[in-house]
Amino acid sequence: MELDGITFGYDDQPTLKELHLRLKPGEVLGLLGRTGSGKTTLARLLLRFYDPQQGCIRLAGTDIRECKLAELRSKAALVTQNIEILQGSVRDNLTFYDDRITDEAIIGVLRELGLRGWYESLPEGLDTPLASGGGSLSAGEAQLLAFARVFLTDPGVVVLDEASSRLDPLTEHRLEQAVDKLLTNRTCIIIAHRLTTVQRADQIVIMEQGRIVEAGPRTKLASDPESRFSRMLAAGLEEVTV
Amino acid sequence: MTTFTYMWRLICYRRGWYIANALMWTIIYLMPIFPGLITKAFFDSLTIDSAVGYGTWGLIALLLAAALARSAMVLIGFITDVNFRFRMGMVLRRNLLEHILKEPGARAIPCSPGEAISHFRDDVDQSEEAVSWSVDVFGMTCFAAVSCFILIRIDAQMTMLVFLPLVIVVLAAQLATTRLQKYRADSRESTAKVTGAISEMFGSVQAIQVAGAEKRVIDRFRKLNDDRRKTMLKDKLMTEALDSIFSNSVNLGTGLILLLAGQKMRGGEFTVGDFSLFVYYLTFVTQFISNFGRFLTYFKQMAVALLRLTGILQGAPADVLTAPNSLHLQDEGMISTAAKLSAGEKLERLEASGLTYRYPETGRGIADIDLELKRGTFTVITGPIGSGKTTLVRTLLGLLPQDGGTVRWNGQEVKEPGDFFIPPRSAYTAQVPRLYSDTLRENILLGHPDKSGQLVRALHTAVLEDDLGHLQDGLDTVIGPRGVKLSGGQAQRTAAARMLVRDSELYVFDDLSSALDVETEQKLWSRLFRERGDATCLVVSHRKTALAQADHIIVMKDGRIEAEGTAEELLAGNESFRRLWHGDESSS
Repeated sequence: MELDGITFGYDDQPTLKELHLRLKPGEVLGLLGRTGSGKTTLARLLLRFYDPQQGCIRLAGTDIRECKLAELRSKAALVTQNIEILQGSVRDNLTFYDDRITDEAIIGVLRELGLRGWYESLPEGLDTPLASGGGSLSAGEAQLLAFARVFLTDPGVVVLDEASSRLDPLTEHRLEQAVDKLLTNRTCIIIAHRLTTVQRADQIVIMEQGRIVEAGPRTKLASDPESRFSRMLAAGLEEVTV
Repeated sequence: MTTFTYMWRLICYRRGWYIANALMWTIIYLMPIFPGLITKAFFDSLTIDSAVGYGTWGLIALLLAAALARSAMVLIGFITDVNFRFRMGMVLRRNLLEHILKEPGARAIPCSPGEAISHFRDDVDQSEEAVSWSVDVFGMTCFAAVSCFILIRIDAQMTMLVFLPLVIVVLAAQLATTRLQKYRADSRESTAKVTGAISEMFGSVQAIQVAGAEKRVIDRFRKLNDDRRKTMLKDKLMTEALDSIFSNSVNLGTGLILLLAGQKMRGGEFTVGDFSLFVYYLTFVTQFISNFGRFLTYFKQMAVALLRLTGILQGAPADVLTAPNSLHLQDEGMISTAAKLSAGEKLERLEASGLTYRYPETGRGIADIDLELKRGTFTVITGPIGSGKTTLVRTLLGLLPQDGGTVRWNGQEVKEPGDFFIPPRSAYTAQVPRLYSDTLRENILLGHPDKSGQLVRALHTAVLEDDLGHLQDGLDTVIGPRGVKLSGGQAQRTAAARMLVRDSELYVFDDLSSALDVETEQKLWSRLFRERGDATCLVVSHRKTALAQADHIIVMKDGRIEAEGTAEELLAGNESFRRLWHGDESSS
């Protein structure tokens, strides 16, 4: 994955400025930055919700603007902070009416994500209707369902945009194994504001006001006491010991 | 409520306008009586020598005058109709909306927003239509009675024939009732599904695109539309078939009259003038008959509309729909004057005991929750996902209907928590912020007056002041549909500012800091602690910053309180809490 001089703004003011980035297949990138620094915007560009005003994004050497949208989105998956639940059955919400996905596969994934207890509490199993916007579903459960959507497809690139922000630490911890399995042999961008979330990253990029202010391998940045990353690590540890 | 009472109540809402309207239309429908008599006189004057003294041109002038007068009356009739009709439709919509706003916020409507819109649009229209047509039926019946009287005096046998189709029409409409209502209910249902699907699709564009499911979603939409086409076709076909039965029975009647009249005229007891009168009235009588049939159809379809509207009330009596409320908007001054609490109302102690709520769909929820908040304390609710934290705060604040338990504010029982827990008593930030496509300022204030720098203070406490500089127009930036131009963290802090700008005794935050980075989060909590004064806080959170500063922590598990205490006590004595706390630590 290659970002070549990306500049993008929702209006006249650019949200992202002159971004350059390179990620090898199978690598995991941890994208850090304050709220409003442009991380989510970057994720939206990767899935072509918007096209950059300057520069281009390449996947395996091809400009993503030359791919068909459907093709691109079957290869790249995104789990976001806000989860959209449609009015419909649990099955429809997970498969989006894809009949090829079997019930066994769905139940398997739910189990893997630690939603077994929740699934067993459903009065009509996968046919249980969910209300528009989630209804009785808690925001944490909805977030796990969004994960399940991705697990049921087979993407080459996975973007996790604050995907675990609504989970309690315990659930997040349990989810890790499942995520490890998901990320095997896949290129991944983990967008986070919390350091715990990016500890499996190979590369770290720190953004500020639409620019990359620091980039490099995680281990290297962590061991360099001058780096922003190690300073953030120190601050993060402080948080724990408040 | 029966369909008839429903209609009666709607009529009674603006009785004056209804009577005026009925009067106007009765006059309009009665007016053709005169041109009929004039025509008769005209033809008789041509054939019989002893003509009326007006002369041919006088009769033509009279005919023209009658037509002009009728046109003028129709114009006035439309004014009264529009005035009555729209008032009635609006009061229905107003009452429906008021009821929805009174329902517990998290369960205000029993269907998707799109389906609710279809109730507001189509079912109200249907009710309007039926009531509005009742006026026409009344007017036309008057015409029918008068014309019947005149015609019988000329020839009773022929008059019978003219009115015979009416019997067929009423019979046909009665026989078709069950079908008619079933088809109407089906078509309304499938239309609601299509409307619902549209709103769901627009609401979940991103999820659909991310899943690459556009084609599948559209296929499903096509299927829903196809279902709608079929049910609509049945509905329309039924309505049209009835309509054609009505008009054809009328045409057959006309044919019979012509045959009979021919015979009678040869016999000489029936003049050309009589014939012209029959033919002239016949068009109006047939119109009356088929409109009467149409009204019967509308009336039966109104029964379906009433049933559907009652459904959206979720068990409340149907009287709610027709309550005679004023349509005038309240004066804006009302909002700001309510915002003062007397000394006795200031929060000293908030208690809940035996609080219970179960989601009807899954049976999950919370049970037997006891909690107590003292003035100025900071209480945190924590626990694994799905343990009932959000349900607990929603039930406490009346956003979900309590299944059991009591809530007491300073020892006084709160009867209507939904109306009670609003600023200046309490303010709440939901877990998923709801933002609108408007300026940031309006999203925060939502019409609240910005008095004495409250907005600036709220922005500061919510740690938004730095972000403002990066937004194109600062506070006046339009943030896009659902606040798409804001980052997740900015959206959360905007929602927090919306809460903080309303001075309240109790602040309730549901998972406020989930999308914030460590630095911003720390700023937010420390500012809150410093600037909240002696306001009481109830917070749902997993974050250590919040947990460590809490006066009291409630650990939820499977809808019940598992343990309570301070962080220290719980770390020492509660395994679940230790695991929640360390789940974080072990991985950092």
